[in-house]
Amino acid sequence: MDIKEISNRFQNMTIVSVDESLMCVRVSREDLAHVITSLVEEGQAQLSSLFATDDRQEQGVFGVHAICSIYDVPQRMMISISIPADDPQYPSITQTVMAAHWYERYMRDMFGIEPVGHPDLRRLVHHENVPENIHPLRKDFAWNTKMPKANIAYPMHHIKGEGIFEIPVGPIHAGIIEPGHFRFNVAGERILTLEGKLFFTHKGVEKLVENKKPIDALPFIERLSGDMSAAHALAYVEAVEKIGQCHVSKRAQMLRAIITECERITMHIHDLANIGGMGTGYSFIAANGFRIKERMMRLSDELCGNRFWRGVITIGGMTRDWTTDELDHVVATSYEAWQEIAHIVSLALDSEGFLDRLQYTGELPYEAAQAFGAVGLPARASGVDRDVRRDYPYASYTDFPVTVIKKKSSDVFARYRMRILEIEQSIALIKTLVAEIADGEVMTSCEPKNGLAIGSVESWRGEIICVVRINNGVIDRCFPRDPSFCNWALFGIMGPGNIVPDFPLINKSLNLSYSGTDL
Amino acid sequence: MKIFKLIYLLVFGKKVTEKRKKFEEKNQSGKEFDVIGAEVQQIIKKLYNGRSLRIRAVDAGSTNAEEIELTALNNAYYDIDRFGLSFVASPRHADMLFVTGPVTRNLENALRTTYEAAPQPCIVVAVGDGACTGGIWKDSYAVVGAVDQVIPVHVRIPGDPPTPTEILRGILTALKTNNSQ
Repeated sequence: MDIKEISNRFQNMTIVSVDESLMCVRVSREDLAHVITSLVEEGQAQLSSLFATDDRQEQGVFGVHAICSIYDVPQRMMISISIPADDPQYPSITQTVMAAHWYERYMRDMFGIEPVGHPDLRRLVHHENVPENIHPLRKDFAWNTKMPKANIAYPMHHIKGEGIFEIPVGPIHAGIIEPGHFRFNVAGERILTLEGKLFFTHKGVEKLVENKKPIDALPFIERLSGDMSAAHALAYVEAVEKIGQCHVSKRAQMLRAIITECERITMHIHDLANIGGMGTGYSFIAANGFRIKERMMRLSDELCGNRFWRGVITIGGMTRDWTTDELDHVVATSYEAWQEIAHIVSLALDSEGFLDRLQYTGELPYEAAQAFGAVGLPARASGVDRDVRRDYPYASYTDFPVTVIKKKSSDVFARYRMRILEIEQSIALIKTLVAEIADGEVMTSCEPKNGLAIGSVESWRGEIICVVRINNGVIDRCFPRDPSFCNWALFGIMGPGNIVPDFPLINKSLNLSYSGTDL
Repeated sequence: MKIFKLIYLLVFGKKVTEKRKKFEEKNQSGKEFDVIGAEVQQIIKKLYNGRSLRIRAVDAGSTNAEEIELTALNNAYYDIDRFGLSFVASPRHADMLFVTGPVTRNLENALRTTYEAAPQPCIVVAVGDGACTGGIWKDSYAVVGAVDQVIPVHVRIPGDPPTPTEILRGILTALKTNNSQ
C-alpha cells in the first residue's frame, strides 16, 4: 500500500511535510494509539522508534513522535501528536503494540510524559539514586545539574512458590563485559522468568549533544557503543546531511559502505569466536577467532589510525581518502581473515557436542520477534524479512544491493550460521566496491540547516535509527536508537525454558550493547 | 568412523595456526610489547614472591571500547598470561582493579562495593580517558566523574581507548611505583 493511501484512510490525519524518505503527519493525541495499532495489526508497518520533544518554548507543548516503517515502500512515516504542557499524558500505545513498551517508559522518565494505561509503569532509566520528578530531557533541566541522592525502590518481578529460587546476577559480571543486572527465577536448572535491569551506564548523551553544533556532537555519537562507531556515525551524518541537503560524492559513499562492512566483518568474527569459544567452552575456537579478529582491528589501525573504525566518517564525506593499494590491502586482509575463520568454524560445526549446545537453544518465535519489534540479525534468524540496506538503501547500497539472509529455525545455531553467511556476503561486497570504486573528492562542505531528518543504517547488530532535529544551527534533539534497545526485551521470551548455563550462550548469540542502550 | 576422520584431520589436515616465522613477520609491533612484558614479569616475580598478579576489570560506565581492548590482552598476539598476569572473575581474588569509563551515578555504589570486596593492598588503575578525567561526559547530570572521585586511584592510563601496549605499559608504571614505595 502506498504511503499516501495510508494517510487518506485515517480521517483527521494532516500531512505536514513529505519528502522522498519521510512523510510527517499529525494526529490528535487520542488517535495516536488507534492509528499505530491499525497499521501494525494490518501488517502494513512496524513501529521503529518512538520519541518525545520538548517544544514548550516555541509552542507551549510536548511532542510525541512515532516512526513507522511501512513495508514495501522505501519511505517512513512520522506520526506526531502535541501534548499540552500542563497535562502531559496520552493514551498508551503499549496496550496494543508491544514494541512501544520500553519507549514509553523511557519517555516517562526522561520527559515526564505519562502513557495512560501502560501495563508496566515502573522506572526504566532512573535507578534508585534519582529523585522523583527529575526529567533530564526537558529543556529547563540543565545538562550539568548535580542531583541529590535519593533512595526510591526499583522493583523487579519475582515468582513465589515451593522450590522456586531467585538468582540475581550483576551489575558487575565475572567476565570483562559491560554492566547490567539480571534476575532469574528458576525451578531447579530451568529458567521460569528472566528480567534485566539496565541503564547502568547511562551517561546522558542525548542531553550532552543538545545545543552543540552538529560536527561537535559527532564524537559523542561515535562513542555511544565502542564496537559500532562507524555505523552510529554513519546514521548520524546521514540525518545531518539530509537536513542540509548535502550531496556526498560517490567515492565517499562507497568508502562509507566499505568501512561499515569491515566493521561488520570484525564484529561477526568476534561473535563467532565468542559464541563458539566462551559460550560453549570450546576454547580452540576462541583462541583462533580472537587472533583473527585482532588482525581486523590492526587493519582498522592502518586505515583509520585507531582500532575501532572510528573517526573517518564525517559530515559531508570522509576525513581521509585511501589509495588503490590500500584498498586492495583491505580486500586481501579481510579475505584472508574470512578464509581462516571459515576453516575454524567448519571444524567446530563438525563437533556434535558443540552443535548440541547451539541447536534448539534460545528460540525466538517469529511472532514474538514481530511483536517486540526485534531488529537486525536476531530478527532475521527468526524469519523476519527486514534489512535497512535493502529496504531503505543508504550510502552506496542503492547501486550495490544486498540480498537479505534469513533463517527460520530461530535458535542460537541459526544466529551462528547467519553470521558466517553475512561475513561471506560482506567480503563479496567489499570486493565489488573496491573493484568499481569511483574517482573524485571524498569531502564536500556541508552547511547545517534547520529541520528534522532520520538516518538509518543496518549495523552489524541491526537497524540504527538516528533522529536529528537542528534549530538555529545547533542540535535541538537527537535520539540515536541503538538496535540493542529493541532487542533487550527479547530475553524475556528466549530465556524461559532453557537452563541457566545456556543464558550466557544466548546472550552472546545476540551480543547486545549495554552502553548503546543506556545512552 | 568419526575417530578415523579425526585422525585423518590430525595428520593430513590443514594447519589452522600460523607458522611462527610468518606470525613474527606480521607482528612487528609486538616486539615492544614483549620487552615491556618481560620487565613486568620480573617485577611481579619479585613483588609477589613468584606468584602471579591477578586483575579484576570493572566497567564503571565505559563505551565498551575499553572492554574490547582488555579482552584483546588475552588473545594470541598479546597473551598476557605468559607474563604472570591474568584476569579473574571476582574482586576477592584480585591484586589489581582496572576501572573503565566515567563513573556513572548508577554504578557508583557497585564500584565502591567492588573496591571494598578486594583484599588490600589493592592497586587501582583507571583505564581510558573517561576513567582518568571523566572524558567528554564530564559534569553530565548522570555522571559522577573520574574514578578518583569514588575510590583512590594509583595509576592512570589515558587513551580513547588505550591500546593493549599502552595498557601493559600502564601496568609496568603501576608496579614500579608500587615497588619503590
